[in-house]
Amino acid sequence: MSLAIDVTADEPVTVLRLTGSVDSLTAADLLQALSVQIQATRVRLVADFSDVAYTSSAGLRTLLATLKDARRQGGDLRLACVQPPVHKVLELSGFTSILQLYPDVGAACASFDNMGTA
Amino acid sequence: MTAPATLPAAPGDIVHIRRPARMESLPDLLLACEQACDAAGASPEDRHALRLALEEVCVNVITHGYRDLPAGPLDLRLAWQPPDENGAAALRVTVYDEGRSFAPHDAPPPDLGSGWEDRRIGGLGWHLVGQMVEELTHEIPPGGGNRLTLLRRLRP
Repeated sequence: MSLAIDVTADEPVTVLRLTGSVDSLTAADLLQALSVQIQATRVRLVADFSDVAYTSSAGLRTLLATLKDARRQGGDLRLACVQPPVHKVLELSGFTSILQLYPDVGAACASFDNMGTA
Repeated sequence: MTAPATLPAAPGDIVHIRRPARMESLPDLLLACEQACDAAGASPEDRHALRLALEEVCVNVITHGYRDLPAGPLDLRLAWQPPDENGAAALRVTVYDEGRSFAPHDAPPPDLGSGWEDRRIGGLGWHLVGQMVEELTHEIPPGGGNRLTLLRRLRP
């Protein structure tokens, strides 16, 4: 029921390393952290889910809202290192068909290379 | 943190906890679920499923059931059912509230397939609950409110 968010702006990609749960009590903090990036036109976002063992529908709302905002501005929100319990929730919710998932942060960051200049 | 929930001593006993239906109560309610899972020897997968189902249900009660109303009680009971003839034990979760009555089975179907631009934000809570449990029963008690019962068979 807690979430630590560690933001690393590594132009042109911003990585948010998450530790904890993305749930009803923490989703608002995550949305805020992501919104700050988008408002600063840092729209190439990677969320590192290595240390997230749990997400609920509140977390899914945050991910989808951010994904839409980022894509509308030519960027994206991509996920790295999604753990099996969270992956299952993404799958059951139909999110694996719209979210891009990568095995590690490096691959997620590198996936933006072919997007050109933002 | 207020007093912990009562632990079950034997199969069939219950964890019972009653809290005001506010978001601040969520950690206590989910802790009670953890305690019941401990007592039942639930697997990590079962724990995850029950926590998810319970969070979704409680948040629904808090944000919809009591919307625009003073926060009334949210009463949670967890009971362990001993193994049935197939050897499967189960956890039964009962959530009672005195808020506005709802009908989980009438929730609109979730949008699981639209492209990202058209994908509806939200509306996944009841879908996830349904995926996490084998049985979901809703009744409106005589005095109003809701009594929701979830049953998850525990995986060995």
